[in-house]
Amino acid sequence: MVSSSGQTALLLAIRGLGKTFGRYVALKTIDLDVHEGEFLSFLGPSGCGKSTLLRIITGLERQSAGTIGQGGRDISALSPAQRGFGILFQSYALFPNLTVRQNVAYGLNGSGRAAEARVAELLEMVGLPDIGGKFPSQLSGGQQQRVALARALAPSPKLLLLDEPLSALDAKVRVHLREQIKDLQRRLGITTIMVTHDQEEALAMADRIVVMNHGTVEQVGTPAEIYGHPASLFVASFVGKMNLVPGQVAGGAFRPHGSTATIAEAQGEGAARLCVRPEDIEVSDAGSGTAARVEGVEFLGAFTRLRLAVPGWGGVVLSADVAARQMRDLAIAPGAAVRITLDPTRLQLLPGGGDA
Amino acid sequence: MRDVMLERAVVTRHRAPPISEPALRLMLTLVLFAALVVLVLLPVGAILSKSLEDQNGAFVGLGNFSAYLGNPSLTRSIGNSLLLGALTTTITVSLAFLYAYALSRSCMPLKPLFRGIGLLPVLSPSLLPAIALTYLFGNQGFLRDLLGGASIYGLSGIVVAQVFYCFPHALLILTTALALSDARLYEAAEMLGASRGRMFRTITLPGARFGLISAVFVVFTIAVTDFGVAKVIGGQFNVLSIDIYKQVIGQQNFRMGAVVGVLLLLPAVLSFGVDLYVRRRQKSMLSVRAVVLVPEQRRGFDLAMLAAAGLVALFILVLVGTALFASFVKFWPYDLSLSLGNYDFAAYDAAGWSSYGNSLTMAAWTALIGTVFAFGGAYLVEKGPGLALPRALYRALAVLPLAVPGLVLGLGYIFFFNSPSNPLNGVYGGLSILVMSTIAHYYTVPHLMAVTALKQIDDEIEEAAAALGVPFWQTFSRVTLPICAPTVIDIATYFFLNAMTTIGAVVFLYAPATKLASVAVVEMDDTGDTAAAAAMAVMILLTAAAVKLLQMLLTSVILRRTQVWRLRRDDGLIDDAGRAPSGA
Repeated sequence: MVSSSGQTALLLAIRGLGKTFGRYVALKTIDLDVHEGEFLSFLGPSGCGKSTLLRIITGLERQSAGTIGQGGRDISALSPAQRGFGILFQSYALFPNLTVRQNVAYGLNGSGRAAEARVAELLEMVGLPDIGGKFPSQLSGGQQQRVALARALAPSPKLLLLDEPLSALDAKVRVHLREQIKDLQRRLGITTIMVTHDQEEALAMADRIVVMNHGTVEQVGTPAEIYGHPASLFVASFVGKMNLVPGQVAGGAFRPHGSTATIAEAQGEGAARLCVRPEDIEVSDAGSGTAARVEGVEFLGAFTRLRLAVPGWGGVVLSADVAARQMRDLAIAPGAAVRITLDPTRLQLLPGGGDA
Repeated sequence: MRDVMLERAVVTRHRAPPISEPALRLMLTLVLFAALVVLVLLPVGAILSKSLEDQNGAFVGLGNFSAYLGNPSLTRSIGNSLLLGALTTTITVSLAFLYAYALSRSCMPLKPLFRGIGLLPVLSPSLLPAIALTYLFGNQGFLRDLLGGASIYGLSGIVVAQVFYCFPHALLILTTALALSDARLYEAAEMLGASRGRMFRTITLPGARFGLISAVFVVFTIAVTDFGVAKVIGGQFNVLSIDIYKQVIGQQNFRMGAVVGVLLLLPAVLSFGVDLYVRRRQKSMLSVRAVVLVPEQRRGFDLAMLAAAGLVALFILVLVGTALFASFVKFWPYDLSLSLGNYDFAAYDAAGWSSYGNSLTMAAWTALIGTVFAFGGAYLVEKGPGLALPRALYRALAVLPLAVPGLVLGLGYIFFFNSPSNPLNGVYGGLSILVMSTIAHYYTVPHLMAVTALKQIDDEIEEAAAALGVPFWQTFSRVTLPICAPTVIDIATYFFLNAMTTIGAVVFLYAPATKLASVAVVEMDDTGDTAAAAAMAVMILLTAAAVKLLQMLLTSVILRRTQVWRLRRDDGLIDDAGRAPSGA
């Protein structure tokens, strides 16, 4: 696994970490570095082990194998309290019988003026300076999550852990809070790990993304790397929309099944898949390019997604996104004949056949 | 928003506590587990092993059982108990179903009142209906002539009194079962043109079938194992529970007592297994999206339901009223002028009023210790990380008392605690053994009430607190306990009420100085002082009613004071559905 972000001091070193529940293997030998000040995101479908990994880092769950090192010290045996990380849960987990102020002060030692000042400072920081006396049930979901954030940050944790923090909120609030958390993280410079199954959230917020599947790490990289150069079929199909064209590599060229046309240049031999993003397919109504037929049109606002059958490539069906501006210039309706070209710099080949 | 330097934070995190939290949790869990072993498992084990020994403590296998089964007068009580159980169960469950149906599916008026009357018997000792019946139909009863020469002493008397006593238990189960219905099913059936009868057969009955099964077994167990009713009104009709009492108290034949005890365990264990199975099934029956059924007005049907429920309520009120009236009457039936003479207990029983005081003290200790024990145990088992094996063992042991009849538990306590080799021998003959046996006997329901309430609190609450470095006992007292306050009150009330009315276990364990009010009722009735017995039973009933009112008052005050944060339920953190009714 490679990381390409600027190297800073190492905060956590996870080595050979494994977790089994009875006979079920939740995590298989995870190796991962977490650097000071970075925003890391664990991304994967439900059941991929990302939450288990987060819970092991917090100390709420104990690993079956491997170590977690912090500053050269093995912290595997420490309790959550001794590790001193801040956690934000999907359910907010605010204490319902305590006021906002009492909630934020909960992890602080002492209740004097210093604690009061700290609480006020944090509430202002999350943009809710005037609600200290209210109870959680009197707040909206977004407000509750911001209070939970203030509570997690109050004891000045070295690491902030976010467990699907936005998934209980509705879409508008989600986007707003996403920006707010990211902004706060950058200004405080606090190392943050967020678990999410929402690839858009991970791409928008994280400095680095750890894509996980079936208890293993599939790929670690910046959002651009993950999106632009998926290292596996799983990453290619999980992050964003991806066309996967099955075919064969021979003699330096990739040919789709059932066709002799060469779509891309390639090294090596054997079964492979060509990955191409819908937005990297150029659609025009005439001129050069491969002939295709419009099978379906899905209007999505800023762009339109077309389903295109390409007879010359063995009848493969591709999704192509056409920007609204360009759409107005094209006469496209189901059944129309169009021409497509692929941007050779945006193509990627992944070895292997079968279904993704 | 303004910039904040985290390094500048003036306030520090909590320091790590002096003793490691997992170690403390484990220790507490083991202590409570050991307490359950001593209070439940070992006494029950003692009775099992005693039933397999001869007079000198040598192992004789099933010898005692074959000796028992070879005695026709004793085996007759098995048949009698089964007959009694079958009759009581059939009548009680039928009436309770009708009553529950009227409460949940009709629009009859005065529903809260009817509900209250239906649950009233829970507050009374099982002897009260029996005593009331002797006043109505006994040798000097008002309505004796209605029986046309037949006697109330015997099967019919026991059944009628037990129907009264078992009724609220069945009612609670069946109202819950009938409340769990999905209005959409009825709407669908109506659209398809189903008749009311067909809807009842195809939707109502199947929906309530688990409740019905559960009610049948619960009532059967109470009927077969109850001792007070048969003692007062049984006459020559021998049943198993009377056999135990006679063998142990009358003939000091502990081994035969143990044999009958083991036989009594059988229906209780069976019922326990069925109940466990039913609980598990019922939970998954209803989807979260079900729509609550709201009954619509139908004049004829509502009136019929009102009449039916009214008759049952009248039956309950007449029995309670008779006991109440008789306790104030100078000399039934010759001098019906009112007096408080029957409440001068010292004139009838050496213990006088002190047995009532003993009951209050015993019930208060039971409520206090039992609540701490049950809620604390449930908390340790339900919350926090790890300890899978001790937790599973604790859970299993916590539900066991439900399967042990009071008489059997009491006998086990004699065997276990009266043994000279037991270091706890000192509790024997004191108030503490009464408290211990009562907590053990009634442990299961409070445990389940606490578990239900704790499960309503999201685990992430505790985890968030743990991550903030706050020790679990602090979160327990500041967050968990306040949220569960209504349940804690329910649990304390449950323990108190049952401690006031119980007779099964304590009848073997009291000493002259620690005689309880319920025992005094049995004894005074035994010596012919029925009016004083009725008066004492009324005292128990009134005390229980007062405690019940206090509980309702306290709960409403708490709910009012905390309604700000209990207001919205959409986050599912707190839910009153978790509160089991305290009479269950």
